[in-house]
Amino acid sequence: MNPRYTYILKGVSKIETDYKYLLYTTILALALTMLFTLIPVWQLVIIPGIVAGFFNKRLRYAILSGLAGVTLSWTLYMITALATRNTYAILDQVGTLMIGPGFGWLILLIVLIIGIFLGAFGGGLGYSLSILLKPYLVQRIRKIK
Amino acid sequence: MRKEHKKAYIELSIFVPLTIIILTVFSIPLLGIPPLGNLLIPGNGVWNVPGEIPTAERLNIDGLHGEVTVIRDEWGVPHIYATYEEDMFFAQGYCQAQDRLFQMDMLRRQVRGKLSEILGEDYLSTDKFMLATGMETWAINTVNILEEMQSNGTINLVPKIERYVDGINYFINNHKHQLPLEYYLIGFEPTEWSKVDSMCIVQLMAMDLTWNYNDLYRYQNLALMGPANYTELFGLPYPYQIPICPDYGSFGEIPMAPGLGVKISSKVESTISTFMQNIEKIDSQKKLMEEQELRGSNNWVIDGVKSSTGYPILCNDMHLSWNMPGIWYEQHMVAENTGFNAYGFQIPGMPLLAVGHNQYVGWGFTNTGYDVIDWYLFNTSGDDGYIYNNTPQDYTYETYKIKVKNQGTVDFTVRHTVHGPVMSDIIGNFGLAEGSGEIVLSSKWTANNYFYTLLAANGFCRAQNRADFDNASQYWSILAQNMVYGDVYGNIAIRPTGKVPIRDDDGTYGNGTLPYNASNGEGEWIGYIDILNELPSSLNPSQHYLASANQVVAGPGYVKYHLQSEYANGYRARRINELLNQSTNISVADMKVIQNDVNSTAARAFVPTLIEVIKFEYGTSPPSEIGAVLSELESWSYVMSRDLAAPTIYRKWRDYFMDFTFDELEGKRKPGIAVLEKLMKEEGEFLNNWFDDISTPEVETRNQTMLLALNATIDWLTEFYNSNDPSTWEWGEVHKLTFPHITGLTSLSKGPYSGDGEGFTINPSGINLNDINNIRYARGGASERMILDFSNLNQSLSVIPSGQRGLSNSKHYSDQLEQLFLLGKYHFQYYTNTPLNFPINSFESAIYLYPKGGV
Repeated sequence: MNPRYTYILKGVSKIETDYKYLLYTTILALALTMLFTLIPVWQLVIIPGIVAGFFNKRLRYAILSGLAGVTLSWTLYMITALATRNTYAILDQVGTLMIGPGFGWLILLIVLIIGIFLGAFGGGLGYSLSILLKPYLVQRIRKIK
Repeated sequence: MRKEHKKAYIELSIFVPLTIIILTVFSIPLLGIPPLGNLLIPGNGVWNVPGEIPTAERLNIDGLHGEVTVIRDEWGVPHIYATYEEDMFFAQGYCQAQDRLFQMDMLRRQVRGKLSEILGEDYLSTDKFMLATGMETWAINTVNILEEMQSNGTINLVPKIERYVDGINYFINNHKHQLPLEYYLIGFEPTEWSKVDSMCIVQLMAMDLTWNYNDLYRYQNLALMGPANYTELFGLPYPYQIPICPDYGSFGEIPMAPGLGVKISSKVESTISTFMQNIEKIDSQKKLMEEQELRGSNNWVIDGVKSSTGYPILCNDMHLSWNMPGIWYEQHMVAENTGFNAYGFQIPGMPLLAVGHNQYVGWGFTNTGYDVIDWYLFNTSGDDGYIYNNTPQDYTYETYKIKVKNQGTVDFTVRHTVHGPVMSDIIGNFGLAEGSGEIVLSSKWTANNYFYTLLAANGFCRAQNRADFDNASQYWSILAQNMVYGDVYGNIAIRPTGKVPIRDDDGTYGNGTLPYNASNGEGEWIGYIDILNELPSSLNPSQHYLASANQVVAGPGYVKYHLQSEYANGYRARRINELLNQSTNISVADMKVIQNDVNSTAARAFVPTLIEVIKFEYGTSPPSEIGAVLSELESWSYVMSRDLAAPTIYRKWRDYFMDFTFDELEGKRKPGIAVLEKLMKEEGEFLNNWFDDISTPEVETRNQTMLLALNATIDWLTEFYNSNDPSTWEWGEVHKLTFPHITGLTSLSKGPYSGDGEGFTINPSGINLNDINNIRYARGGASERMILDFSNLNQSLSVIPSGQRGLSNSKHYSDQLEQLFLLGKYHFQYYTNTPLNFPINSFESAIYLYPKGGV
């Protein structure tokens, strides 16, 4: 085979692997975020991003997986709450209190933006930690083997 | 260091600070708002506020004896069907907590001095004041004595209250993370409920209805005017009263009461003035004083002769301040094992019912205005004592610990005299200016005693006839009320009941209408009037109806004791009597019309005279602006409709007429408008020419003052409406109704809505037009309406001016207000004795409570 084609195939294969990681870690972040909505300590939401970021090979995918996992999870949560508990009325009341009448949608948007930031920062954190901890972890795993 | 590690450290140095910043910003309170993360992040705060009650829910509960079914009707009203009575009370507590937990929490916190614990230092003065009044102390004492009475077999009530409390606590303990929005906004959690908390709410209602500073205001007026003038304006009885109990004669046109022989002291006046100026700075007391203007109520009952059904029809609407959620909680309670089957209203946080009906009898309340609080002045004797009855005495002390948000605990000590707490003393405790150091002011109040209100409510709910009801009513002690009664046997009755002190005063010292000099031993309470045998009452009168609207309880034939020092001007009573007196064959539909009546007897008393004066003074060609106003007034039928201009003209003119007539009382309390009516109608019959403007050398007459008021009215309304065309001065522009949330949060409040009526119509709603730039809309009126049809109690009607649930995202938060109350409509009371008979079309949801482990 033409070495050039081999190079391209290797690249495609690598991208496929990265995407798989991205997909799996996003699902992991989504599940963890969902789990943490059951615990009344909201700061835990940084953890899904860190976990997702840790298992990604590239920083941009790490950030993306954290961001997507948290945001998608919260979006699903919000849709369920809005549909079943008339939570929009509450958001509107809080919006009126903080900003002015009719700003319930802005509260929703703000919450999603917080989710985006926390997921992204968590992903970045997880990725950086994985780079720093990888040599020690590899060493440990070898010792165990 | 490897290159990629360097890069990782750089990335960490970016992500770690950014993450910390976001986590910190959303974890700390900002601008009085609790941490936004706790409030807004999914899984927290607003996202945990419960939604509607599921259509069907099953709960397995430890300690239940049998099954309980709670059906909610289309208005969210719970109908509790229990096999055993104890379980019924459990379900009552559960439902109240499910619907009104935050409101209940705030009510108990007010009495127990725990507002600053959650709201901060701003509420410390309110907490201190409420603790100083002794309400919590007497709630605790009452629980103790009820437990003692229960253990020695005198009563059988405490286990029922305990099951009610268990129901509330079951809800709290199982919903710690699903709380009403207000908890997340303020940032606290409910603690467990107790019997004392429920008793505290009884005390709070007693304060709302009976605590006042009228004696002190009167002293200030007496000091300013002298006895003769004071008596002319503030003497009793008020003019034009139609007594509640018709069996003691009518007042006719007898003159107002004779003068008083009380000595005025400048030192006392100074102490009182300082006290009153400072007391108005305490939020809770300022609010209480404003709400006293709203206090009132209507109730009436007709017998089978007057009704279209051949059976009594009973109506009640209690006038209190409007809030979201409303003060009343509606419920229907059935227990199979005892035949308990009662429907009515209660304050959330209290078991049983305050007003309502069972299968046999029905009842409703209005406030009596009995004088149940006195103020005593003591000369001090050193730092630790005071002079009582010419003898030095030592104070007793009570110390409280008040938790303040972000500040730890504050110690607070109250000094007590023989009569009660030294209220002038605690003004100093608030950091406000202290009164004269030589005189202290102490209050004595019937609520500072044991109270058996729940024993009475228990008796009402079980009464099978008039005798049972009467027997229960003697325990209704500290909330003095005119209790109107009807039953399925055709009886009607009214009993203005309550614990009224007998004073050692033949009237020389004002008979409780003025503060007493306790250092001389004045005004001792030497007993209480026997509720059943000595207070006025009426049963099956020959007029075939009974009506109360906070007017005088009895005519001149009742001479035994002094009962009331304050009561309504009587315009609502005049209108109710007029309508009931002239009508026969009255139906439930007619009663709806009467409860919503906005024909102003007050306007009818004043406006014809004003029209006469205009015509007399101006003849047939008045100035154009006066002519236009005259035209509006002449075509008016005295109905306070929001789309008319005449009500606006009348109301603002009446305000000016009052102010111009009583200019001598600027800054002091003015007499009621019934006194002004009498002065207007009987000019020249009084000692003083009250119509004279004391700031001018001329002597003004009644007619001149009335026209001066009219000109001022035209100027005011022209400026306010930006139009000199009176036909554009619509009443609904200024007469608006508001329903503020109990925390004052505007986003949870309702209104303002344009409305009909005024403060003196049967359907009342008083506004304040003093400040052209800041109209104070109506914040009180009917807090519930109930019409009981004894020919078929299942056809009885009710409505509240909010909704059943206190959760602001619920459809039952304001549904009754918007869909019924503001439109003058009602809903049916579904009074079925089993869930099987409950009308299926009105079914909304059901909770099935089962004993854990089976029956």
